[in-house]
Amino acid sequence: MVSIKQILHLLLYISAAVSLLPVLPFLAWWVQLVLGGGILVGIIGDRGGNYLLRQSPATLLSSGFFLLFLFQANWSNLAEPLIQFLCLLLAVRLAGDKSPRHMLQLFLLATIILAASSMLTLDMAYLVYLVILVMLVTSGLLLLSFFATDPQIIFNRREWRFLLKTLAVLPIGSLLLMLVLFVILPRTQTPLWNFLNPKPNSVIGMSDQVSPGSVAELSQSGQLAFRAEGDPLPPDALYWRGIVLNQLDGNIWTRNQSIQEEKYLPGRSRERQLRIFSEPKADRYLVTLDHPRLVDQIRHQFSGDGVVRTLYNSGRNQNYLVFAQIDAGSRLLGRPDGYLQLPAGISRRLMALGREIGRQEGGYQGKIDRLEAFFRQQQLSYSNRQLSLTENPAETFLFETKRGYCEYFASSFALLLRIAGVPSRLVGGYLGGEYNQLGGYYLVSEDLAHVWVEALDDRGVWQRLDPSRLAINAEQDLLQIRRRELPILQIFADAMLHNWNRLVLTYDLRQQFELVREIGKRIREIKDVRSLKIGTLLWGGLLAVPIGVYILVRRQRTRAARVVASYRRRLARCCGVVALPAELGLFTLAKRTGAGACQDFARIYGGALYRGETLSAGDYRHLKILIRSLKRVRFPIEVAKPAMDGDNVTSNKPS
Amino acid sequence: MVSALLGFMAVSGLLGQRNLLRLDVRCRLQSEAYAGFPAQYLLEIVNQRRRLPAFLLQARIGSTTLLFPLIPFGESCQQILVLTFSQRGLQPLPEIYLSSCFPINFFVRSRRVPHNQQVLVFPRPLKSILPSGTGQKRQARQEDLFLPGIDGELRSVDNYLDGDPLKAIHWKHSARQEESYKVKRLNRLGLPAQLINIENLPGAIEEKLSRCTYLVNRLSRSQRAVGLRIEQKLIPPAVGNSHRCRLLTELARYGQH
Repeated sequence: MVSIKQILHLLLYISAAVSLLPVLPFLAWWVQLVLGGGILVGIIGDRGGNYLLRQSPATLLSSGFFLLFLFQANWSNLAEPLIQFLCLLLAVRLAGDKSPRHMLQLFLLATIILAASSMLTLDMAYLVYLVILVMLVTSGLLLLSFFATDPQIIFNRREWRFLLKTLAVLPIGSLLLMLVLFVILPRTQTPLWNFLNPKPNSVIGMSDQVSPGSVAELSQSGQLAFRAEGDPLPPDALYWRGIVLNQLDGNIWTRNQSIQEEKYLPGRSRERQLRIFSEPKADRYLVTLDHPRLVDQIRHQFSGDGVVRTLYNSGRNQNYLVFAQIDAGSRLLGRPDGYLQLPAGISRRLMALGREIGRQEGGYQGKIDRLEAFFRQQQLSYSNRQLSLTENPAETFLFETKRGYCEYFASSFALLLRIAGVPSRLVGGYLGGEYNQLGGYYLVSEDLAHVWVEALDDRGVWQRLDPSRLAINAEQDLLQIRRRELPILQIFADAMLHNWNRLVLTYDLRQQFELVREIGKRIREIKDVRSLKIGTLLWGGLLAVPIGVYILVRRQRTRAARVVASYRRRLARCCGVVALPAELGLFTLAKRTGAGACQDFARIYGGALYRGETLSAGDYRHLKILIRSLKRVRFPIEVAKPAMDGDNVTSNKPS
Repeated sequence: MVSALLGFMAVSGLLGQRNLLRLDVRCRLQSEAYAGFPAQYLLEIVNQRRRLPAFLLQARIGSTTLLFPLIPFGESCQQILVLTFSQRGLQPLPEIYLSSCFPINFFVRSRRVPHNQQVLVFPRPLKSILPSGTGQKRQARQEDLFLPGIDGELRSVDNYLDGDPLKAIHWKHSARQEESYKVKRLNRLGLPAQLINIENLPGAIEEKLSRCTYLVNRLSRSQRAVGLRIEQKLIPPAVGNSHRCRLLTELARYGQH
């Protein structure tokens, strides 16, 4: 018989392994080595009962690891040293003696490590680890209570069965309650322990400045930028607005925060409502569909030029609602001088070109058309590889290499427009996206980051111009890769991931309020709609009571019937037939088989039937044992023959 | 993680609370209890629940704690405990507390089991000899005790019953009867009955009671009829365990009526 201690040891090692799995890639090699050594020494000690690491050295070692943690930790990098320290403590505990107290510490350490791992990674696998760990730790703690009370305790098979049934209640109940509590537990808008989470600091994709010529190649990370839940949009309308860069400083486009007022001009198409789920990022700019009217469900600041910023950077996944119209625009209120600003040091060639375009008739639109014609004439091609690093990127791009990516196209186009006297600015964001039919959302990766131009038309309205589309290979190298469809498996996997983000990672106080509001609304609706039908409800309730009683009584019957049916099925199998004739009663079968189990079954069941009593729980148990005992028994087929005269035919109807 | 921990705490709390409910605790005396001497009691816990077994129950009674690791639902579990009472008479059973650290060894739940059980504790036996002048002159002489036996005088002739020894058949008389055999019923031969007057025993009252207890037990063990005169009450001599218990009860409850 396996002792509780052995089971506890097994649970301990599995719990430790499950808690370490998500953090293992983040641990230094020597920490991994210490962990492996700790587990090995622990297992050897458990087997032989003699532990290499005694109490005092273990305490000393733990103190040393704590000092190391203090040495390594600082406010900007707290999570990793902390987790490393916890893992080292776990290794020390695993290597040493496992008294009930130590086992409790080990279970707690495993739980804490898994909880802390959420500071490093919080993907869907975390839920799997959490579920497994909850089951392991709850089972372990329950067994530990027995072990701590009496280490010599030994259970027989029957007692183990009782224990395992109760053992199942604890983790399953805990997990079910976890789901309920997750929904209703009050939560803060930002996590209390958020300061421990490392802030994302890398800048990939959309940037808050544009400086063409600073990098030779654009990396293709494939990293997710955001998902936008909503109806499908026309492919040409997939311009996701992020930031407006209105100031040119040398070759670098940046954002000047003093923004002029603009008036939103609604378009003719229907307004779209999208819920954006954005990944953690370093800046505070929120992506919207171009052109946004309103952003909701997040604390934000809406600038006149359609740029939205959160009031704080939580460093976590965010979700918010965007109301936008794809053909809406905005009218600049005030003078456009700021959008004509030019830096010093523009090359003569560019100045000459811009001025020449500026001399064209036809107002702003005429100059824009002329510039577009010039871009087409130059046979520019779209490329993000092997670009030359230069101090004058616009001139090099337009007249020499004639190759570049969106930043080259947009910045040189906007620069020439400004020289020509057309107010213009750059807009940074994303172009395109893969629509996931299963989840009903667009998946936009950082690879789809894009820059385009906005220029004033003759009415003073900003119009979107995308000079990258003027490239000779635009359709192939720019647009096609932004319209690709995902494979089925990837669609499914991403939809799962999206739901994880949606239901778990971005579930916050605001959504809780919405849930409460929604429930309240539903209840009010029921009240309103049913006000005339209260009588119906009452009558329904009155009817439901006898039905419920009937079902309860019926349940008693069906349990007995189920046992008899199971018994008859087993007997039929023993005889090698599909089913027994219905007229063969229990006593007839007992007589024909001559088996003790069948006679006992008839005696117990028939006895209760004739006495007019219901079978007790013990009777049911006994009957089931009898059925099980017939598992490998074989009877001649004559047993299953139809009843003959003289057979004692007894009804099988349960009492 | 917080939800999981709270869920776990809620379920474990509920299981812990339910673990102490619907349990019947019964304490029965296994042997006779004498003041100052340890006596065995049988502590039985009955799990009245329909679905949930009882786990890790610790029953504390007096200074004794008993562990019941598992009691399946609808079943009971018994354990022997030893208790010692210092005083004679009807003594209340000490408080019974049920406690359990189930399911998690973080907290121990406990509840008092209400009961109004009393234990009759006989006086502490004190070795003694029969006081002089309290019985017949020749105490060693055997007498007919007018009780059924095999070695005394003939007391009656009766019909044969199953189990009667063959040597008891009255053949001569049976020969005259046609319907059945007749058997001889004899008296028992034994020592004469002894009436103990507690006032004749030496010492203070508690000592007298202790001595008397000893004598009652000793005389009863030797199959001798014993009676008691106590507090103007006379209990005629008789034999048998129930009579002995009656005498001991009188002694135990002396002065407590």
